[in-house]
Amino acid sequence: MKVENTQVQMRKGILEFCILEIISRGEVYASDMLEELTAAKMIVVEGTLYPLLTRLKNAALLEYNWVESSSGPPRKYYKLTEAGTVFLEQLRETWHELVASTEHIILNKKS
Amino acid sequence: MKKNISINLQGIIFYIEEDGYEQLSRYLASIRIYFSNYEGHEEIVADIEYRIAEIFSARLAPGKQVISLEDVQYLIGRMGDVNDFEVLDPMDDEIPYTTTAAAGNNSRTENNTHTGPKKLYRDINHKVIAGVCAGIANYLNVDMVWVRLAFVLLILGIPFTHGATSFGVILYILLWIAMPASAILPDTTVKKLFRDTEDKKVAGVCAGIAKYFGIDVAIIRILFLALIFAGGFGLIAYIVLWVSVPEAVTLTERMQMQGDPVTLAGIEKTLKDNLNMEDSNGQESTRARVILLPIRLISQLFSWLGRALSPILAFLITLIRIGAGVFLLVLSIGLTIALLTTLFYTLGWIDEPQNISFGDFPASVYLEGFPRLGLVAGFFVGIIPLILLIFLSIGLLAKRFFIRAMMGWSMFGLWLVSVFVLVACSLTYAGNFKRSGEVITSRTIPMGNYQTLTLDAYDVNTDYDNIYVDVREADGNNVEIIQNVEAKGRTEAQAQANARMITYRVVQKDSILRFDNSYEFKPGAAFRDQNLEIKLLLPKNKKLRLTGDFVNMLPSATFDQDYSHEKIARNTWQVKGDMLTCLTCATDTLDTENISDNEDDFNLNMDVNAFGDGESVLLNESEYSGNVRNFNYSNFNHISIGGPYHVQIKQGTNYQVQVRAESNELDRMGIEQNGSELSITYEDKSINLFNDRKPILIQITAPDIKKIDLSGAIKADVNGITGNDLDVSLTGATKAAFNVRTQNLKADIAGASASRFVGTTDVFNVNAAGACSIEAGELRANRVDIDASGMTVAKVYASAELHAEASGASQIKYKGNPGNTRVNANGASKVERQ
Repeated sequence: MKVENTQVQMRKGILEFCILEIISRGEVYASDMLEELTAAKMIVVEGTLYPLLTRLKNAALLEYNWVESSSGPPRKYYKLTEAGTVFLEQLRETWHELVASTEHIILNKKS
Repeated sequence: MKKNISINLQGIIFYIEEDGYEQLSRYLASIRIYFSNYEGHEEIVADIEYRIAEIFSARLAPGKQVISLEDVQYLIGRMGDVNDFEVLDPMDDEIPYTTTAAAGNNSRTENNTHTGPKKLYRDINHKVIAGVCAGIANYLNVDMVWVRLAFVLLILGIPFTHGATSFGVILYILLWIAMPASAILPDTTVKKLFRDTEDKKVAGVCAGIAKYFGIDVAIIRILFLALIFAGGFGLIAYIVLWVSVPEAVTLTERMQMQGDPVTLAGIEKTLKDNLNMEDSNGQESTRARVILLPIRLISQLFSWLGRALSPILAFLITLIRIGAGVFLLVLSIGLTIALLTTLFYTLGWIDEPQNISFGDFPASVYLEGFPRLGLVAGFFVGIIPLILLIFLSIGLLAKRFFIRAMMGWSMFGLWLVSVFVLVACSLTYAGNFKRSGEVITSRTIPMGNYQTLTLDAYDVNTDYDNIYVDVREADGNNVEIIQNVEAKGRTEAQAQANARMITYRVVQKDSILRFDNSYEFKPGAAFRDQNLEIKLLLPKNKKLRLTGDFVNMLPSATFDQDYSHEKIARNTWQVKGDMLTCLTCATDTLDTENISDNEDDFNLNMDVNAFGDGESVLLNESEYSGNVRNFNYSNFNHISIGGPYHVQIKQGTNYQVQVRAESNELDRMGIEQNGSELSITYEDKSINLFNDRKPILIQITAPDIKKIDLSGAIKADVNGITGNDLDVSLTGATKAAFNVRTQNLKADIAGASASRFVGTTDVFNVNAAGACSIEAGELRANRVDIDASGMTVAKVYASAELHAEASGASQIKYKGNPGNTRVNANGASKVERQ
């Protein structure tokens, strides 16, 4: 077993959660998301992000608008749908629960 | 100055340098493949292209209008290549892939392989039948294809090992049982050959090979086509590869299929990297250019070749397709017309029946009486495959196939039904040939006024050749023509009726007799194997002239020698016995033809002891048929038998002629009495495929037997002949044993006959020719006069006098102590005393 594999598994579900968080703040497009994630030290490349966005959109959790841009091609600006907002709410709850449980287990070991 | 290419990413134009373009298109291609199994993959790729466009836009500036290779490399570095996608976001069970992809994934990410020394397992994940080959390949760290190929070869059988076929199968089954199965074998990092089913024309073999080596697929296809045309090896290779090379199904397999591209561009790059061939400007140094020149040339050549040959290849294939289509179409339409014509004509819708003939008889006669239903069935049996052929040929030409499954199956069903009907009708029809019957008519033509008769033939202008003319001598002044027609039918009466359905004419004009050279059918006659035998009784005191046309009607046995037709027509003849002898040939020296030497045809091994010791030539009574028929012949002392009979001749107080044979065999036997001659012949003009009939046994008893003529393939047992004279003649391949007590025993033996004589006689006169064997050592004779020629082997016993002439390569051995001997041995012959 390699540690990277496990790390990747740990990151996988959380990435989705983070992306939905970022989008919930307002309309945002793909490369902005990438910048924010990278700044927050979540390593993500286009090849990972785009499939995920498409999947979420196909599941009707996201929707997008085309916005013309002066410097370059038009861009897709994503925002959450109603269903997406509900989904995100549930994920937030799950995240808090997970953090609490994991912390509990870590602390338990020490004592 | 550099060349650039204009591309567009999602509708936005960029100019990009050539080398950058190469790399970018490879990158995009790999991305496309990677995502090809994702739901919504087009959208994902489009998004990525947008992103690329964005990044490129950022790199452009007023002074820099073109995307360079460095820009592309920056892009790839920043976005990550496919391997990076893979590492950071391994494939997910939610995403709809093919199921084997999930399985393939499990074996990699879990990495839960077997621990300990490497054991031989069957690889269930990559199995075709049972995973034996895949397991072996995994163990040996080679590509599965080679193991599969090895097994296929073992099973197909390498030419030198005859037992290899079953050995391969047994080996596979043994391994199947012995090797345990495993679903979690480690992935070996071997470059694998797959079949590319996305890019396939038939089975993706060529496309897979092309991807493995990185060569253009057209070239591989051309290679295979060339190998197919040059002896068909390519076809076998293609099929073997089709069977043994696996299909690239999962995404990973698709990626693995690419291998390391062995393209020339790749080689160029590798060389450049390794040899540090750029000078300070970043431009290629002269040295680099020189070394890379040949590679560039070859690269150019290949790409040109590929471009040039593709259209030619396509054209060739089209040509073949159209050629085959046209040929099949013409052929099938032609055959259909023929079949339709036959059908209409047999149903009676077309006239002129006599003009079409099959072989010896006109077609109408064959078909007469064949049930209509059978004819229609026969038509369908022929027409349905032809219709299919027509559809196939049209399909080839139009590149579309019109036959739907339903129609195809119903046509097949109809065809099957037609076959059954046809077979049933044929069997019923065959009943028309069960029995045979004959009709004899005779006609007497007085020829008293003429000294010389001329026999001529009239050409009836048909192709038939079904007359047999037999010439006999007669007393008196009249010519008698006996026509014996034999035919087949359902019953004997019907057979005789069928025999009457033919007409035959002989016309007399003064001293000329003109014979039709063939018989004709009356209208409405049916083919029932009608045979006409003409016995021509000619007065023996008349001279005969024969025309060449008439000679064509006579069997060659009519003449005592081989004469040319011209010679026969030139000379004058006379009938003697059942042959014609020449009156004027002694003075006719016009042709110097050679009479062929038939003695080479005889069997070289003639065993004098062909009879064994004291055993009868005939079989046990139980081996013959139980069906006995008695004939009421009497007052004969001359027995002639010709045919494949078993004969038993005895001397007794009463006359008895008894035959043991099945009744249809009896139909084939011809038996008649002419004066004091009882003659039995055999008429069999049909082909017997199954020769397991019981032999026919003829048992004849007569009080006084003077002459016995046996010919053909007779086995005869002649017993108890006492009397003064006995004249025996054996020809053909007869095998006869004689037990006699006579005064004069004369034997004429010819052909490949084997004879044995036992008993006593005063004089034994033998004329033997050919490859006969005469075992007469137990025939005590006072005087033996033997003339043996050819390759005869004879043993005789002479007590008083021996006159022996041996010629050719004959052998005469004699026992006894004859006082008076005259011996003459010529050639390679021997006469010796035992």
